[in-house]
Parts: sequence; C-alpha cells; structure tokens
Amino acid sequence: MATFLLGAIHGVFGIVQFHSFGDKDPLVSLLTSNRNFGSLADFPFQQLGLVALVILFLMAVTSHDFWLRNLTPPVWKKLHMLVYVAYAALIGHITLGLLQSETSPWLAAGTGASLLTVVGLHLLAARQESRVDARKFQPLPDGFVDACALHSIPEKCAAVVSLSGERIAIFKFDGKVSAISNVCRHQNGPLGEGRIIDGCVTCPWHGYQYLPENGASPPPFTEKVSTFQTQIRDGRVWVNPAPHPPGTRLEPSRIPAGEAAQ
Amino acid sequence: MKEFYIGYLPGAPAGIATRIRWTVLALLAATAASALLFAEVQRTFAPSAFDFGKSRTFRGTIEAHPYPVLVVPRPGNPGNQARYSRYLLVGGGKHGAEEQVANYDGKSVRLEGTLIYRGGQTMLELVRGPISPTEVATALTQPREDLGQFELVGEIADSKCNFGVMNPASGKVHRDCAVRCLSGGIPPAFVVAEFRGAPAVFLLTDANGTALSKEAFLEKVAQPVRIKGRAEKAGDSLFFEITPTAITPLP
Repeated sequence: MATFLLGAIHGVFGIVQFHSFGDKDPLVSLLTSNRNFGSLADFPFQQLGLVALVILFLMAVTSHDFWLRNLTPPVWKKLHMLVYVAYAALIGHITLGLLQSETSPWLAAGTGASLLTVVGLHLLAARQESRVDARKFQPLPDGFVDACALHSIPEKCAAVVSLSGERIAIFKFDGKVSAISNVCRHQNGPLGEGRIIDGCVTCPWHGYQYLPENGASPPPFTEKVSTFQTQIRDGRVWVNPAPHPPGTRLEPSRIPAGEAAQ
Repeated sequence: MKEFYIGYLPGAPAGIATRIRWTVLALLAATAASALLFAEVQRTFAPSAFDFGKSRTFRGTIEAHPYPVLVVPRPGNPGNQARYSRYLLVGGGKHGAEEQVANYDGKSVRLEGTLIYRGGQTMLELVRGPISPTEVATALTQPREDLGQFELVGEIADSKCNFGVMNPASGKVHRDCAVRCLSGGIPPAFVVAEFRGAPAVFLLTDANGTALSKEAFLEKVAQPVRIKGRAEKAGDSLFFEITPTAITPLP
C-alpha cells in the first residue's frame, strides 16, 4: 500500500507535469508520445512505470482478506506474485528513463544494488530451499519413509521434508508428533517454520492457526490443510507421504517415554 | 530455539524486538542518506525563473512571425546591449500563442503575462485579459543579421520549458513533455552547447524564415541531433533556418 501510494504520487505528478494542459488527453499522451518500442535507448520508459503502477494498484486494493476469500487463495496469490513483474518494470522504468539522462554513477550503483539485493536474496533462498527438496527417501513396503530423527525436532517446532513432491511439516508437541501440509491456506506461508501456540500450529507469516492432529483451523475459522500419518520407530519419525484430505483427523504418534527424554 | 513472534502476541521476544528496532533506525537513516545523495548527484542546471501565479502588464510591439514575440524598448541607454528586449509569447499550459496574437502583428499593444527567463532568454506566458492595442503606434521592425551557414550539434527542445519552466528541460526524461509542448504550438528551440564559443539557443524556422512544420522535428525531440542551416540574429534572438530534412539524429 505504501509503495503504491509513493508510486501514485510520482505517477500523478509526472502525468500532470509532462502530459497535462496540452493538445491531447494526458493518458493518451502518456501512451502515445513515445512509440519507439524497437529501440532500447529510446524505449518508452514511462509506459513501464504505468505497468508497475497498475500492478501495485491491483495489489493495494486487494490487500484485504475480503479479496483473498472472494478471489480464492490461488488466484489472489497469482495476482500478488505480479509484484515481480512490477519490480522488473520498475527497474526498466529507471534504467531506460532516469539513467539515460543522468550520468552520476551513484544512481546506476543504487539501482544495481537494489537489483542485486533482490536477485541475491532470492537465489540464496532458492539454494536453501532446494536442499530440502533434493533429499531422497526410500519408502518401506508399507509406504512409510524415514523422515528425520525425533530429537532433531525442537519442542513445539517442526522439521520440514519434501515427500512425493509435497512439503510436509512434522511437529513435535506435548509428547506427540503430527504431520500436516507445510503450505498455509492463507497465503502459502511455510507452516513448518511456525510454532505450536495455544495447541495450534501457527503460521509465521500472518499467524493463521491449525490443529496439528486434523489440520483444521479452530472454529469459527474454516481453513484446512492435508494431514499425514506418522509413526515413531527407534527414535526416528516415519511419515506416510500419501496425503489425507484436508481436515482429516489422524491420531498423533505418542513419543515413548524413553525417547521423550532424549 | 529460535525466537518466534506474530503480531497478535502481546509482546515481541527481546532478540526480535532489538533487531526490529535497529532495522527501523537503519532504514530511516538509509532513506535520509539516499534522499540526500539523490539530490546531490543530479545534474545541475542554469538558474531560471517562472513567476507562476504572478502576472505583470507589458507594453510593446507584437511580432507574430515566425513565432509570437513582444518587442519592448529597453529603458535608458542600453549601451552595447540590443535596444529592444524580445519576449517570446506562449499560451497557458502546453499551448502556443499564435491565435491570440494573430490580429496584432506589427501593432503596439498592452498585455498581461507571466515572466519566464533563463540566462538571456525571456518569455511571457499570456494570462487572463485581452491584448489591448495602445494608442501610441510605435511599431518596430527588427532587421535580421545573417550570421552564415553552420552545422551544429544539439538538442531540439520546447522553448517554454527550456527558458525556465522545467529543470532540467532536456534529455529523455523530459522528452514526452517536450513533444506535448511542441505539438501544442510552443516554438521549437535548438539548444547547442557551443556556438561561437558559448552555449546558445536558436529558434528553428524553415528556409523561408517562417514557422517550421511540426512534422519535421516531433520525432527527433530531446535527443542528440546534427542540423545544417543558416544562423540569423534579431535583437537578442537567434534563429536557425533549416530544411525539414536537415535534422540528422546522432547515435
């Protein structure tokens, strides 16, 4: 919202200064004054700024749970992932606009630093996440796979494993273990990076909560995620990667007394 | 165990609270530093003025062609300076003043305008009220001095922004504004870094000395161009007479 408002101030100011009080409608002028789409140096950078502003506008006006519910989370999420298109358009707006007129290396350096930061953080996150996905598991005939050591999961926290293409969060709490989908129904937040608070798995992004034994949000909330069967064998947690329908209650695995102390 | 905090919990753990506090302070400092740096490293521009909202009454003689000008006798003894000040006339916003002055070519008038100037370039934006012919007919004719043929490199800009309304009034960022102004009838200026040892601003005309067709230059605005033409001078104003095909964009 704040980014949109800043962009809107800049955009309105630019349209009033550069395109208004002339012989054409300001928006027509904005879209037609420069049509050198075939030239990189002359590329119409203002249209790129408009693209970014329109996306930021759509994101700003739908930044409310009313729109999340009515658009459905997948559509809402796709719409908000357009922030990457907006960022690319913004970088184009700056490099093909301001940096073509201003010669200070500081401006180019600042733009480059922003781009490096965003790309670098995403590459780092991708490398970190790919480690989770790269781990291979050998299922037993009963379908269970050896997911992790019991003691590797801190109390009221989770270990995340990627099984059969789906990320599963295995929570340890109150002498029990439960596994649910790692993907929050709100905005795809990583539930496995959350905590058990008041007996509920709590998403680290916006605090949406799910009961670990059935993956359902406590009433009156209605969000549900898939659940997975778990077992504890010789100090290790085994998980069956076949998902149970969202909200299906599965009895948590009880940690044997001897292993709970480890 | 790593600290965990969600906004609806009563208080943030000490580590997260400290980190957020320092992060906010660092971001505020970075924002202020970026703003100062951004202001500091931008191109400088020659001092200019646009007395927006302040109009004055001027008396002089209208010269309607090639572009509207109010010629005003300079008071006292001008010495080595030209005997007349030349105020290029434009309309409000991004509009020329051809229509407003069409009936007053060569006539002495009183008009109200807002002053725009940068360096030796002066302009009036015509504002409210009619142009009134004055009783005293002091029609002036300013002969043009032929300065010869030249091939100059510079940038085509709209004279209104270039004379002081915009800073800067050149380059790609300003291009769309320049296109809109020129399309609306603001006289086209040819800004060169050096002419006879100093920066100069010409008004572009066709080879007959009349207003240049917009089609000749609208696609070549606000970019480096080379133009061959004949330079002329009238009072403090410079003109560059060209053929429409004489404008060559530079890579």
